[in-house]
Amino acid sequence: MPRTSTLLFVSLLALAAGAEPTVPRDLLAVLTLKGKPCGSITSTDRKGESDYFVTCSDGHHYHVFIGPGDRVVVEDK
Amino acid sequence: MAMFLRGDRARAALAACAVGAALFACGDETPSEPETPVPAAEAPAQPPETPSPAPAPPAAQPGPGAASAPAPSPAPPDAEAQLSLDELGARIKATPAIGTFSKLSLKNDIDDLVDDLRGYHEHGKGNLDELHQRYEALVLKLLTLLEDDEPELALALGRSRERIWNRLLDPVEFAKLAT
Repeated sequence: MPRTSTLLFVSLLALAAGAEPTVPRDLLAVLTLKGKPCGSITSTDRKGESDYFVTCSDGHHYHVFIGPGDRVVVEDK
Repeated sequence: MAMFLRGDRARAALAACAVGAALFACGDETPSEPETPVPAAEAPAQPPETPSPAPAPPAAQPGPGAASAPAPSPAPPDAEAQLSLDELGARIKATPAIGTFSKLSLKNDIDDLVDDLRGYHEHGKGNLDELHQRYEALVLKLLTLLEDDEPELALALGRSRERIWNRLLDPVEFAKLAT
């Protein structure tokens, strides 16, 4: 593969990676929107489609998922 | 809006649609008022701020002094804010700066607010001040999410917030909301 093509491919990959917020960043934003204390997210555990367990740096744990009626639900664990 | 979509992407699209829905719905261009470029809160018709040192003598010739030329020039501050609300809604819908969960969460809040505004308009239910506070909180949330990655969009939204609220308050404009 020519060097130019490789560079272009890597650049596109970088663009794609930066196009949307990462899942932890998105989940942290949701916690903030919901007024849930967290600090920063230390780990996420995907339980299913749009269903995550979140561990925060301040010790809080949350279950974030999309519930009935397409509502974002945040439960303290 | 009662579609059953599966997958994060589909949910994101739905959420994004709803995030823009409030802007969309009240964002129809209103050609009835040709020249109302500035919201009333920002620039009243007669600016009271400048005391205009010589208002009394109308017959006197306005001298070439510096203080005698009021030069209101109301256009510049809002000139860049003339982004149509349709475009604003579309840009929020398309922005990658807000993630799937966040868009859906905002959609939930917007839907709740629109429902309560509908109750206010149709049945007189609710407290308008409380609704306004919720609207302002929603706009602030959006601004916070947008300001880093979409500063221009955040700026446009900030400039349009009062106009959007005024449209939400207008029963005729509100009735145009798609349900």
